[in-house]
Amino acid sequence: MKGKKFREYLVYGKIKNSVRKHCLNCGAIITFEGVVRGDKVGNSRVKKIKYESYEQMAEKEIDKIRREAIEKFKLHDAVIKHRIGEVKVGETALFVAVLSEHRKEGFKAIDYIVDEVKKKVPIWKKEILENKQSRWKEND
Amino acid sequence: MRVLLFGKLKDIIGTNSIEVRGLKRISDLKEFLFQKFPELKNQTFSISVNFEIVLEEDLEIKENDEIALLPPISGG
Repeated sequence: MKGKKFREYLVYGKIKNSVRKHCLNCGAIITFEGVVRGDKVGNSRVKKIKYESYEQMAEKEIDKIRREAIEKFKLHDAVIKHRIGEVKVGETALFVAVLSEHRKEGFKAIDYIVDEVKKKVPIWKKEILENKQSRWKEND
Repeated sequence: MRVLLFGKLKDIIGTNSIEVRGLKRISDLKEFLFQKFPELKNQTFSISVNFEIVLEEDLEIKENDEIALLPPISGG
């Protein structure tokens, strides 16, 4: 998902209103934002990250993770959005929101979803440094 | 059939897709790729067929399958 559309998901109002109207037994709305860090690399620093995806497969995997999380943690709903393209330090690259009856399963679900996204969704990041060099980065 | 390349592999091969013909199985595809692009031998990657990662080397591949070479993923 590209920048402009992605930013719309960072507005939680829509989600909250929908919960109040349709989910009277939802006691928790938990959101997570994965933000680009300005890590030090040698004598330089990360300026931005360029994310690339295998779009059709990524959408399929995200949908699968979402459905599994809803089932596993008895969520009312979940939203998972990953931004593609260039994302500057301090900006959000991954947005996750879960709606659950109680907070505990909600927090567990957030953790599960982020781990699964990092493991299974075909997305790759290239770090662009302040000294204009770049490198493909693997998850730890 | 079309083989898509992503991430680091795209930079190494210098293109985002290659056309291959007459290959019957994943093992044939690997043999072809390693011969044509020996630099791939030092790379870690998975292969997907129609958006599913495949592990069986003797899996048959068909002309209209969409195949992709996926380096270790690094989203999030």
